[in-house]
Amino acid sequence: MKPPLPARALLWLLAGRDRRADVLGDLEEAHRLRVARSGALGAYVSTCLEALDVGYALVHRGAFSASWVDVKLGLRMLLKYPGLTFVGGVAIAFAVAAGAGSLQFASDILQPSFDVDEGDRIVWLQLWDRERNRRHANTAYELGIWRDELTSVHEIGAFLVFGANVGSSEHGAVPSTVAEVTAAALSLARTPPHLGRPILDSDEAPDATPVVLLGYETWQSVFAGEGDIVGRTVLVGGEPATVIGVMPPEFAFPTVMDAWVPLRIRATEHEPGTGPGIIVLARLNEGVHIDEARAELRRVIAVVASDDPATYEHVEADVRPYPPPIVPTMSEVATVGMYGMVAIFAVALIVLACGNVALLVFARTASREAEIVVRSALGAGRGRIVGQIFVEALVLALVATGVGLVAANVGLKWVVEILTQQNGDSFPFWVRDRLTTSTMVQAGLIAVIGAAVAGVPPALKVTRGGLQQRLQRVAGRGAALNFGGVWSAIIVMQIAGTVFFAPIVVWVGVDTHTIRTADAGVSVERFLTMRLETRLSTERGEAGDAARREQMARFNRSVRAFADRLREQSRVGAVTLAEQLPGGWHPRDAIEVEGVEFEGRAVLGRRVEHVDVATDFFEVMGTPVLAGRTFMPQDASADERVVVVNEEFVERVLGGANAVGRRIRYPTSAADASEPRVVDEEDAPWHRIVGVVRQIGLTLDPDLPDGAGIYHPLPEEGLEAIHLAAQVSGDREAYVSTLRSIAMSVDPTLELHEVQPLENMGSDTLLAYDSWFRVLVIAAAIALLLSNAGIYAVMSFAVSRRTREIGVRRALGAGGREILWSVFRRSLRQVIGGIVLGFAVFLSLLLATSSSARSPTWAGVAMVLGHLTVMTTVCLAASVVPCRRAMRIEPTDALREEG
Amino acid sequence: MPTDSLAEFELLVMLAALRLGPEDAYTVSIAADIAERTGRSVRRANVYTTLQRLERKGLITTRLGDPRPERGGRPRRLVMIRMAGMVALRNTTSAIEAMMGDLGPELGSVS
Repeated sequence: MKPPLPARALLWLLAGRDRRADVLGDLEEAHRLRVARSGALGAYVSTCLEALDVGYALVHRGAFSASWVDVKLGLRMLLKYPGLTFVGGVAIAFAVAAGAGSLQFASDILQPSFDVDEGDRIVWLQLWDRERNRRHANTAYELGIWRDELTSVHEIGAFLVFGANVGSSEHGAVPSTVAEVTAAALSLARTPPHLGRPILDSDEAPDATPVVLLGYETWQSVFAGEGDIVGRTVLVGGEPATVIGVMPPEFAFPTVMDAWVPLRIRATEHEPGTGPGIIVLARLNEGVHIDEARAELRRVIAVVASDDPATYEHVEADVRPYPPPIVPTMSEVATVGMYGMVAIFAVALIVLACGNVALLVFARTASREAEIVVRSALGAGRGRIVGQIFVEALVLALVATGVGLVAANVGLKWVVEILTQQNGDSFPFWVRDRLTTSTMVQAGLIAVIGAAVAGVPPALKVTRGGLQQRLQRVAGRGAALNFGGVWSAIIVMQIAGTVFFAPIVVWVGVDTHTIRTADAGVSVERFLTMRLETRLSTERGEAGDAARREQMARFNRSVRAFADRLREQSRVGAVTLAEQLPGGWHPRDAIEVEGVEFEGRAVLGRRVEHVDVATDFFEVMGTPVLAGRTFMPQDASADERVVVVNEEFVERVLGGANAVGRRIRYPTSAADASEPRVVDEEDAPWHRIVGVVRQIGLTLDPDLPDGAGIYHPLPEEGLEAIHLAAQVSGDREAYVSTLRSIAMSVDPTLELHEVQPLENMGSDTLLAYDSWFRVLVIAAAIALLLSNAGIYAVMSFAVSRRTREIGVRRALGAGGREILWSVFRRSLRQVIGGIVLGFAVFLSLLLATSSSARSPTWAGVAMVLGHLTVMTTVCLAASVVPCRRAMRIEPTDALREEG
Repeated sequence: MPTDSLAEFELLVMLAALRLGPEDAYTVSIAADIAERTGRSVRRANVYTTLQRLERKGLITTRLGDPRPERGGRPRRLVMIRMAGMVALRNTTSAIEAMMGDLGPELGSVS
């Protein structure tokens, strides 16, 4: 039972090397006792708070004191200085939201856990192949041994995941993620079904009736939530199975699943290293540490290996937590280190924001200098004053943290939704779309750090010096309190940050616009597209290979039959097949063109996109042939391999030279070569270009403006996954269910994924760019707000401090222009300094990352110059109000100051 | 306060360490012992601070024990009372006893 990661990380940092071991040991022991006493959640919060307490005790030096009155004063200050409250609050809220969101994400990725009873004791028993540096998945034989011999774990079960259609002839079929799971493995989740019964040991018998447990969402979407679903027969991967139950909403175990079927695995039937690829799970016995289970597993495997040393020569047994961290082999120290890095990022963000807020707090505190000096004269120590100002900043930070946490929850939901949309089932489902209590506690700790940054330095500066000196300063006879070089540096950095951000925002904005308005080169609005797949065996050995060959042959027959059936439909026009469709991700590789050198080398310096397409692809897509011909049916099996290229290929790769008749080939990357080259002539056959077609969409990626593409005929043996595009008249979305029914009647194992209009291809890329653009806009706006508020605060402060001086200069005959210049030149220096610095950093980054694909253009230069002008104007605009105030100061104002 | 006498919480920590012995006295067990016997809530942070102070005063010494599985394989920092600590304990308890004197009946009547 590990204590919470933030608590460990905090004490790891604060305890020092000599105390680290025992302090962390105490933390773990105390946490175990708490878990037994008050449950996991209560223990989590208590342990975090105790770590804070202990950490403070380990480093405490008795610096300052504060009271509840300071809290009330801090709340009053929020209302009294609404400008500071707004600007500072927005900055801190943004920093907290970004920091807390990052911490939550890192925690879920690095130390995932299930939200189920004793979920933290679920472990993954695995064999690691040291030679190939990968998991040895075919452990059906070992599963039987582990079940018989391991005593440190119980509920030993296994599962494997596959994709299959789930549905019925009545409801149609939907491609689904299905788990073949043993009853023991499913019981680890300790979650009863919403309807019916779970999978039982008896369901695993070879002669048992095939059964299926449906996911709640599958039940609702495929079977319309019909109440009598239990006991009915449905199709899973084309095979009939009786529904025995429905799991509760959002249930996900061992990973996100649409349905569960029994895993019928008989260990005695398998030799070591054979059988399906499975994952073996178990639960640690009460009081057993994972290290003890690992040691026992290794002992058991050592005994097995002594009988069969050849099979287990490079195999190492291991026990890991489940769900696994993103890098399964990461050590605990590395995990804490990684989390520490994210925590440092979160803290750096708040320090940056609060460093700016400190500027405003300093201006506010300086305006209260008289009150503070009087309190000192009445006996308040420096620690007391510092404590008061710290608490004022803390109140602001905590209020802003509340807002930031709400924003983080909304933002996290948004980010997880986008990532899930982009990655589908491969996105780890245990990444939460909301903040946990522990993250909120950490955000609170970060807010305390932020308050210290925002409140303590200004307080220390205002209370510096002896009481006599400060009294004289307040009485106007001493040196005035001024913003020092550090504050000027902060403003310069703020402006630099704003200058740096803005071009990137524009850059990403232009890319987003490019993707949104990209021309696919076809009439996208006519096509409905889908990806076709089938389940292939994961079994190793000859039997597995034979099964896969047979499945592939059946799949490709079914694809052709499905395409033919579609062509017969009245609402369907032409139908074509391709490895990938315009807008989707196309493979890309290095190429050689026979007889052509690229800057003295045979291999082109960049990779070119290529795709396998059906003979009728160009005809169906309406792509004109510019030279030569397109594919003919015999091209797929002809001795000489042929390709068609697009017009961009001719322009960009061949410099406009005639393409037809030339030959290209793909050199492969050898392990010992730094760049691709042809190692084996047979592995890199030549392909003759037989035609040139007009430009048609490839991968939707603004970083690949090249657009050069090579088309190959679909191979005769087919592909493991293939895209189909069909011209459909009328409402395309409404036609999806008809498509699924047709597919079901052709072959129930034919899976139709991502059925969508062609214009939606690449929508994931657009979503990613659009999201990134929005985040950057918010960050840039906050940076601009902060820098303007900083300039305004400094200028206002300077004018109020120099009222007497300006009045005297007025009395001595100084003109408005001279007064204006004396006030204005400081902010002008800061603005120019910030802009030069920001632009220099931006330029360096641009030069470091520039490529031929992104060479500077006049439009770009004009955009940057325009941006600099706007930035200078906006930043200087913050000086307008203080400058006008300075211009209106009269000699009488100076006399009033004196009095 | 002279170093040969103890403050109240120092006294509690020293007594707990004495009772638990050099093989079992460490922060968690000392905090648990005081909490169990006095019925008051003990912050482990206070025990750390107090042990550090006592060690600085030369009244106790600490050493790392063997790694233990229930602590994630980490050792305990075991506390041993030094001779000066025993003297301070005796002095403090004697002073309390002397001050108690014949106040027993009066204290007993306080409810």
